[in-house]
Amino acid sequence: MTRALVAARLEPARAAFAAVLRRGLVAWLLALPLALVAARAGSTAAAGASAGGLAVLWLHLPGVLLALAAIVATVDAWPLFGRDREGGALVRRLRRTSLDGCGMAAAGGTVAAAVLLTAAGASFAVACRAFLDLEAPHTFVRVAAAPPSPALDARRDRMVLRGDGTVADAVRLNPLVAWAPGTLFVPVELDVTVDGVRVGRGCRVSGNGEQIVLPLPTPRAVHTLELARVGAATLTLLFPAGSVELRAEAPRSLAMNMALAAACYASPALLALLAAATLRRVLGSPALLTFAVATFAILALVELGPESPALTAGARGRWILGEPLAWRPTVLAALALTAAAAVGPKLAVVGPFRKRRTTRT
Amino acid sequence: MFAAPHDSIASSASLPAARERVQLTIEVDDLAVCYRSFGSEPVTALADFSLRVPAGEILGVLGPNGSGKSSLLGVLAGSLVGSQGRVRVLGRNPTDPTLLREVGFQAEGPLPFRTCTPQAFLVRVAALCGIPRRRSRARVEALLAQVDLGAVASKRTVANLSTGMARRLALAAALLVDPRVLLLDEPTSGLDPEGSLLVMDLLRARAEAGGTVVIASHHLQEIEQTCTRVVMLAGGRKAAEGTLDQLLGTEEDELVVAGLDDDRMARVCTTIADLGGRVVRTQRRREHLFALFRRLRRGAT
Repeated sequence: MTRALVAARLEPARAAFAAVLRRGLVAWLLALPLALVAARAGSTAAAGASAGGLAVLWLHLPGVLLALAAIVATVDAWPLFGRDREGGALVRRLRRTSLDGCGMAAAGGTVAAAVLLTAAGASFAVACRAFLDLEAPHTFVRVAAAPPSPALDARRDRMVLRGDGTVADAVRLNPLVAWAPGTLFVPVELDVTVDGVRVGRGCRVSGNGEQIVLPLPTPRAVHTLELARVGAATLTLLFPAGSVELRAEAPRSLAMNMALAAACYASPALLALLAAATLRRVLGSPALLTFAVATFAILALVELGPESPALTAGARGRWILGEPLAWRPTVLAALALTAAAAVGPKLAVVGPFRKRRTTRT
Repeated sequence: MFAAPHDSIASSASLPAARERVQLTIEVDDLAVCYRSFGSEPVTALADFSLRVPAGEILGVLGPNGSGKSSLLGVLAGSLVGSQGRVRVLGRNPTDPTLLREVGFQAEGPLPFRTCTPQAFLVRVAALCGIPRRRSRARVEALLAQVDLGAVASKRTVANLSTGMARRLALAAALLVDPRVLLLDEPTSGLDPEGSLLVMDLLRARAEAGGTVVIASHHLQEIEQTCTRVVMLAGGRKAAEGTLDQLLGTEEDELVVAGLDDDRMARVCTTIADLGGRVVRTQRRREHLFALFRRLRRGAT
C-alpha cells in the first residue's frame, strides 16, 4: 500500500483529531478553573475530610467534559457519522470501508481526547498541589496472606505474611471487621512487626473502612510481616487480598499520576464512538449524537472502564500504574442483558405493528 | 494514472461517420435503480435504461424532479449500486476504487467539512482521493483560481460561502483528480450568470481536451449551448436521446439578413413567395440576454 493510500485511510482520524483538539481546548479552559474553585471550596468546607478525596470528585469534571467534547467534535467532524449528513454522499464515495471511516475517526478523536485529558490531568494535579496539598503518589505492593485463612480471631491471634523484599517506607492495613451480634463489642488492638522490628503497637480497629498506615523507622526491604491480635477483643479481623500493602519508598510524579488517571476517560469515549459508528446509517446525526453521549454516560456511571478507580487511586496517593486497574467485561455483559430486557419486549409489541403497516397495499 | 482497458465498438447510426469507432467511456445496459427503506414501499428511480457515451462528449441529462437524473449520476459515480443491469465506466465497474482517480463527481446538495476553509477543504478531499498533501497544494491553488475562489481561499469557511461559491468549490473538488470522466449534478444551480459562464467554459475546455462530461440540469439553455447530446428522462425511463439537431431540428430554414432597409426586405419576402417558400415570421432580431451578458463581461475583462 502506498503512502498516499495510507494517508487517505488516515484522513478521517486526522480530521477528527484536529476537530477534537480545537473544541476540547475550549472545554478544558472552561472546566479547569471551575473544577479548581469547586475542589478548593469543597475541601475547605468539609472539616476533617480528605482534601484529596474531595478533589478527585472534581477531577471528574474536566475528564467528563473533555470526553464529551471529543464525542461531539468527532461526530461533527466526520460527515458519515449519521444518516443524510450534509455532504455525506461526496465523502461516502471517497471512503468505502466497512465503517465508512467512522472507526478511524473515532480513533483519531480518542487520541486527541487522550492528549487533552493527559494535559488536563497534569495541570490539574499541579494546581491541586498548590491549592489542596495532594501528596505525591507511591507504588503499593500487596503482601500475600499466609494460608489457611487470612483472619485473626479468638482462636488465631497471630498471622505471618511474606513480603517480596520491596524497599518500603510504610505498611498499610485495611482489614474487614466481623462482629457476632449478641456479643460485647470490644475493638481489636493490633501489634505489627516488620522483620522483627515492631512498627505498631496496640493499633485499634473497630469498623470497616478504617485504614492504618504505619511508617517504618527507616526504609527497608521487607521480607516478613507479623500481625498479632492483643487484648480481649470480640471482633474478628479479616485480611482479604490487597488489604495488607507495603508502600514503596520512592515517590512518583503527581502530575504524571493524575494525567494517566484522567487519560482513562478516553476509553469510554472510544467505546461510545464505536457504538455510534455501528448505527451511523440508521440514525440521523442528532439522534446518533444523543446515543453516543448517553452511551458514554452509562459507561462512565457503571464503571466499565478503569477511569473512576484510577482517579480515586490517584487522589489517594497511589501510583496508578501499580494498581490492578482493569476493564470489567461482566459489566458490559450485564449492560447488554439490561438493554435487551428493556428493548426486547418493546420490539416484540411494536414490531408486528410496523410489519403490518409496511405490508399493507 | 491507471491504464484503462477501453472498449471500442461500432457507434450507432446517429453518430458521424468520422466517429464510427470511438472510445466509449460510459456504457450502461438495462440499468434499474430501486430504493428500499424500512417501513415504506420500494421506489423505482430508473428502469430499462441504456446509454453509450464516447470520449470527448458533453452529455446533458434532462428531466423533471424525481425522473432519475441524480440516481443515474450516483450509479455512474459508484455512490449507488443499481438493482439490475450492467454499468461500465472506463471499462470498469463504477465502484472500482481505482476510478476515484479518474472520475470526478459533483453531487447535488451542501458540502461536508463546513468548518474548513475552501483551501483546507480541497486538500482534505484530495487526501481522501489518495493525493498526498504536498502534491495537492499546487493543484488546489490552481483550481481555486480557475473557479474564481482565490480571494476567499483561506479567509472564509465552507459554511460561510455563498451558494454560488459553494457550487464552484464543489466543481473544483470534482476536478481535483484531473478526471477523464466528469459527472455533474446541477453544476450551475444557484450560480449567477458569470458563474454559469465560467463553469460552462470549463466544461467545454475539458471536452475539447478529450474528457467526457455528463451534466444533469434543469437549465435548458445552458444544456442547449454546451452539450453535444441530450438524454431526457421521465418517470425513471428514457424519453428521448440524441443530438440537439436530431431532437430540435424542424422542416424550416432560418435566413438571417443584415444591411437591408424595409423596402428591400419586402422584396426579399416577395421573392421567397415567388419561389414557392413561405415567410413564417420577420422581426428585428434581438440578442439574447445571456449573450449580452457574456459580451459585456468580455468587454470588462
